[in-house]
Amino acid sequence: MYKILVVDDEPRIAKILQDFLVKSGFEVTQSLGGEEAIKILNSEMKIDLMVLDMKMPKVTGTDVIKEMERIKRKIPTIILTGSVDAEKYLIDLVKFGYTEKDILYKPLDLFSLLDMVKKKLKITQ
Amino acid sequence: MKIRTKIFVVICLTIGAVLSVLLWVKAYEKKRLISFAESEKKDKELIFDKILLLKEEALIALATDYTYWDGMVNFMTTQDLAWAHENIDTAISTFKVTAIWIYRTDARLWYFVSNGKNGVLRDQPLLKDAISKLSSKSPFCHFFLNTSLGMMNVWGATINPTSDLERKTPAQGYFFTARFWDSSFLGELNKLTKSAITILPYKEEPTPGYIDLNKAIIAFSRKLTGLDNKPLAYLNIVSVSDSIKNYIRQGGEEVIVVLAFVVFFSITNVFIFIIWVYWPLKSISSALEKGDSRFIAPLQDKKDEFGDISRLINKFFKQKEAIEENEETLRKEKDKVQRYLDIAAVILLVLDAEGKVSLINKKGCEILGYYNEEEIIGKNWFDNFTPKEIKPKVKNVFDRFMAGEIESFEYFEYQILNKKSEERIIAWHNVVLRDENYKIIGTLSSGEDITERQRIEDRLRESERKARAIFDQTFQFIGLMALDGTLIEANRTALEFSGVEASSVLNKPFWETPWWTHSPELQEKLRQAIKKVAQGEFVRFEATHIAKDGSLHFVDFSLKPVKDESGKMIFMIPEGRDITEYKFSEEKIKQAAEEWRTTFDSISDLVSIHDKDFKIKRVNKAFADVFKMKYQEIIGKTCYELVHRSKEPHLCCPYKQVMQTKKPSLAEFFEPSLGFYLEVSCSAIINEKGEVISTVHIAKDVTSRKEVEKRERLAQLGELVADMAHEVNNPLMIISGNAQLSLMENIQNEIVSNNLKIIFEECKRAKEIIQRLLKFSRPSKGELKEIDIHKSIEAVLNIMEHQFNLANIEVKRNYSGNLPTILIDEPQMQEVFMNLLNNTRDAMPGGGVVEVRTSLEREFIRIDFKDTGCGMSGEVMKRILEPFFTTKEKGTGLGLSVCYGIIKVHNGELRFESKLGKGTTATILLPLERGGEY
Repeated sequence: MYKILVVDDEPRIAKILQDFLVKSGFEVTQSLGGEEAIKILNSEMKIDLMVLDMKMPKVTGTDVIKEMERIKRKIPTIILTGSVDAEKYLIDLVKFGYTEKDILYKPLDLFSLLDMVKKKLKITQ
Repeated sequence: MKIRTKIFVVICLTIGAVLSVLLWVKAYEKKRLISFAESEKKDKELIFDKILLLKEEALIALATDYTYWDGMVNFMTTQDLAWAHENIDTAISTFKVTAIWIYRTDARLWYFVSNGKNGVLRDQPLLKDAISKLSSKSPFCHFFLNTSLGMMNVWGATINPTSDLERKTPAQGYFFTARFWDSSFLGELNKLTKSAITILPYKEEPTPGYIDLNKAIIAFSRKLTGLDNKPLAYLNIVSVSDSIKNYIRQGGEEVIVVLAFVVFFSITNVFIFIIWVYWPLKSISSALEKGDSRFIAPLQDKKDEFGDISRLINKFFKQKEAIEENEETLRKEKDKVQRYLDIAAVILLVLDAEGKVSLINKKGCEILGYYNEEEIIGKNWFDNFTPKEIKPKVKNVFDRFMAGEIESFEYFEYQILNKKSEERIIAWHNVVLRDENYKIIGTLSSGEDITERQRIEDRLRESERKARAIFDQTFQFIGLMALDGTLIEANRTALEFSGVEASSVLNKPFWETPWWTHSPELQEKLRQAIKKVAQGEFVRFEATHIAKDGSLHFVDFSLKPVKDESGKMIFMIPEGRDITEYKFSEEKIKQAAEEWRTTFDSISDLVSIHDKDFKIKRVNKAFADVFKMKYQEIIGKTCYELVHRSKEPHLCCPYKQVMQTKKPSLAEFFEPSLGFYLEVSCSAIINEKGEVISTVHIAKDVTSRKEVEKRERLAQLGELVADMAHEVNNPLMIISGNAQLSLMENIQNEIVSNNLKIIFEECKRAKEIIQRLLKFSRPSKGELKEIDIHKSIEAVLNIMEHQFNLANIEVKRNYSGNLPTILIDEPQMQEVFMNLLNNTRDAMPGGGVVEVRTSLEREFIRIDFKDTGCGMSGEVMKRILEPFFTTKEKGTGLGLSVCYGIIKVHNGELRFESKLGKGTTATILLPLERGGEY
């Protein structure tokens, strides 16, 4: 079973994502903020995929990606963002090899999230 | 009675007579016809009887010949049938009879024979009766017998020996023979007599014979008597007589010929009467009536009585003319005399011995104030027309005239009174009038009205006095000069100006007087001027003179010639006006005007001065430069046709307000013909009466300011929107996510699941709105390509075609043929087209026409989307670009804001023109070359 890390500072959103992914048959760990996410990344926990919100207080999504880059841990990541900020983040994300195809805009269609998750994990039905 | 009527009566009488003779002839003819018909009838009857007898002769012959014959007598005893067959039976066919009966003297039937099937005729009891009637006295009988087979004609005879020709011996037997009068017999008779013959049963009185003249029918009858000598039936004979027919026809033709003759005769008569009598009489009567001899000219040469009469009339006319001419000459003479009297410029008056007016001419009437001489003639001159004060004196003179004391009074001046009781002064010449016997009968006077002359003389004296006063008192310097330049007169102003006495300057050459001696140049100029004026010219120049206080004065000097009535030069008038003060003020005005003009032209705003009808009276340089026109081309045009290119004043023009309040007013609007925003201030120029006579317009190009304002406003709005969108995203995510999760549960209640779906869908919509808002506030930078705008529009129209068809909207394309390609962000521009086209569709719910027009306008590509929809009010127009402003039920109010953002990024213009109820035109202007953000 794949394990997915959901990172969002808004607990209710994190919960929605967790509930949905669990229902869809994944194991989910959630992290309510960037700091916690970095901790998890630095731990031994097996993570197959990360769903990462960009705009978070203190430690942002970009920070998380930078940390991941720093510790050279390569986990496929789906970026979540409000449409307002997309451009702002895109400039940074492009540097780390992300494209628009890795981004989902809030409020998102959960099934398109599922599609993207499956695509990233190369699960075929 | 007029001759015409008489002729008519005569002709009528003639026709009447002819017609009555004709009627009498007709009646006589009728009588003749009747007697003719009667004789015809007699002939017919005679012929008929003869023919009948002929037909009967065979029967008679048989009865006669066979009965005095020994053979027959012998048969009466032998009854030898062979003989009978040989002799009797053959008689049936020989004599064409129907049957033969032979009786013995004892009335026993001895033999019977008949032709054909007539055997039933054998027993005829009547024949037995007939036997009794036959005797030696009457050996023959003839009668008709009505048998069961028809009417028979029967002849009977006694049988006697051949020797007894006269049948005196007793009868040896009786012989009867008969023939049927059947249809074949009657038919034969018909043919022979050319009649219709019928056998009719006998009545009390058989139809008598008659003649029908109309049908030319003759009818008569014959009795058929039986054995008892009583009528049994009668024969009715009807025949048509050709002779009568002919007779009648001939008579009819005669009548027609006679009638035609009568008509012809009458017409000819009328015609002849008209030509011979009526027409000449008419000409004569017209000539006499109208007094014109031309009417009888054709009669002149005739030798009949009418010719004589017309010649007499002509003679009469000529005499009449001569008389009239004489009268005319007399009248003209009289008129001439009257005219002489009337045109005389003096009063001609004749008074009789009593002093009453017996003649007065027109001038006299005029002076006395009357229109008509009748009003004056017969009135006493002295009582009516002489003022009371002088009446005794004048009357006295008149009385002396009458008494013969004075013969003529050459000149006598006295006043008379006119109708208005005004006095006129008249100079009279009088003479006495005498009759043939040298008796004094009155006076003849001619009088000249000298009132005016006296008045004019008075006035002349007065006006000379006045002229002198004016001459001396006027501020101007005036003089009078002889043609050689010698001064004859100078007014007091001129003398006092230089402080000289008249005596020291008069009769001297003008240029040597103290007014000129200070400047030899001026003296020379004056001499030249005098030469010119002497030839009739008018000369004017500015001169300087020294006043008596020594100051230099500028004088507007003029010299003009004076001519007499014949045009001959007689004097010159020098005139001078002191213009020293005016000269200085003029300088000042010139300076001020120059300052003002420089200021006016230095203003970089467009300044124009208009009259009340919007016509431009003056513009500054900036104005002329903007329109690249010369002043002359601008002046006189109305500002709205020049600036706004329209036929009526601009809606936003502050002019109206200025006219009402007379206070300056300000307005701001976009002027498409110039391509920029104008801030126009308008103020009125008011005359002394407080009326606005013209208005001053100052127009400023405030486009850049406007743009900055707009961009600032939009930028602020963009930031606001971005902040708001971010804040909204998370709540939306939670709502949407929860709804989606709930939908994944097994929900039995369909309403709940529907509601959840709606929540999910609406969240999506909200997301879209936010995205569009972002596009508007921060239009993304796409790729720029050289694009053919038409292809780009077509791609959009292609997508929308189906929707337009459904909405019953016709798309008209009006593309310019020579548009260059343009560097734009195509997907964005297409979004603009899509938005604008969507709006046209929404504006025409009931269908309509949308026209897409492209054109090249200066350095812009212009694209118009023109619809025939509901249009917009001014209120709506002002706000359509504002974000969230919408008039649609489900609109976001962002479409046009986004469009505006995109067009602005392209450095273009987006404009709208709309009329409520008529439609809207959206116009995009895209610059061909542009700098800006890209």
